[in-house]
Amino acid sequence: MECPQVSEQLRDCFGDFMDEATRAALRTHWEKCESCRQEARSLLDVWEKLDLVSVPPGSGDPRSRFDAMLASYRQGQADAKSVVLRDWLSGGWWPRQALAQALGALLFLLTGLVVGWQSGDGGQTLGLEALEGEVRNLRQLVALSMLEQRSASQRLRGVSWTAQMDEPDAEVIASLLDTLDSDSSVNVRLAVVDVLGHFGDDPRVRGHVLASLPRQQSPFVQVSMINLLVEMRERRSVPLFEQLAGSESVHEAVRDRALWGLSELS
Amino acid sequence: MRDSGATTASDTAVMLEVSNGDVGQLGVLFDRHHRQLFGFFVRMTGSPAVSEDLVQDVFLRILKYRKTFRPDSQFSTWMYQIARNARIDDARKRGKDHFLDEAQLDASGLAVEPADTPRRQEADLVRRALADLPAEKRELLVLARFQGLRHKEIGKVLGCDTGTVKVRVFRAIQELRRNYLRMTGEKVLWNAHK
Repeated sequence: MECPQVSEQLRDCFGDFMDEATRAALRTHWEKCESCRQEARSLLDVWEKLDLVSVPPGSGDPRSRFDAMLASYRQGQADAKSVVLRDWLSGGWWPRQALAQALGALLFLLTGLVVGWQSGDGGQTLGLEALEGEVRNLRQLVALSMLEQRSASQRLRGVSWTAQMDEPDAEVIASLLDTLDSDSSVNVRLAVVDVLGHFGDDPRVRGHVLASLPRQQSPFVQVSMINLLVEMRERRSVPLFEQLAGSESVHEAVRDRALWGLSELS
Repeated sequence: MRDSGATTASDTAVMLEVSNGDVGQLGVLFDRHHRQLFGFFVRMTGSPAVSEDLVQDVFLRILKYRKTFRPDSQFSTWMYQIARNARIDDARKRGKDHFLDEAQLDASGLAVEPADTPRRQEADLVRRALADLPAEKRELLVLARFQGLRHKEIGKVLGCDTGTVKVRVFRAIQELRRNYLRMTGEKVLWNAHK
């Protein structure tokens, strides 16, 4: 074994497995090469000295703290469920703005008409289709209206309405993409990324997510978008992932995720 | 970690139960891993008090994100990914990636021997040399030296390949040696001055 190889093999001495043959080859080399021996000895000396950095016992009773944390988490979960149910029962499912309320009422009326029509005379196919189209349009209008609300929770509801649509029209998609770019709430933008996953076949969605990723400020959103691009198998993201993975100015979690994305797409 | 496959599988099985809603089973994983995690955080932050909080934070995050645990992944690797994020978030919140300075050591309980013993003086030098490393390098050395993770497992925690980990660990130990030698030289000069 020559000096450069020894230097290479030395890397395995610090926390990784080294087979006996390599160990023996290193020893043989060190016996005849003074500089390599000194280099290895000084590094291994510091490596072993790390043992001196002791860890004191903790001060409290960690298990009791953990139990308290777990109990509090369970209580919080139970409370959250009852609050959601109470909120829903007290009308939390109903939009608060007058226009959205009116559209919602109209939506219910038309849904009732469609159901009534279906259970009555089945021969009115043409009218039925027209009514179903109206219902679809109204649902989209409600969603668009909610996406414009000032309250982030209302906008979140708007995003979840769009998730229920099989084929949202161009205006809804455009509104979602606009929300992704400009909404001030990270939670709303994250919800949009989730919903866009349903429409991953749409080339506008794929292209826009790709273009929007480097513009996003929140690492949470960026990581979520990387996940989405990988899920959509969007191979055009490879150069962008490479750029993100190599950039020091990008958040470490995003760099790591971009590296993961590269491994998934390569 | 260098546990047997059976232990690893058992951790995974327990975590899957937690993931499926039996959150009480998290206590089993807490009992198995909290000391190791505490050691990781103490060596990273230098503060036992901060480390105790971070251990609890990690298990709270495990609860919150339990649904994202994948059956084909190793629990310890996943746990250290969460631990890293918890530490980074904490450092950001505090405004610096702190490590206790000399003055704080005696009060912290980290210094387990009287200050004038040679072993304690040596330990202080190593601790200072470690503290002087950038957090990313310190983290690599702690994971490789104390947490029992092999380079491949560290790669999974950090999201990079084994070769990269190998090179980074090597660079970290070289920098640690530089710091240590610098401090040893400072100590020699200081003693000569006295």
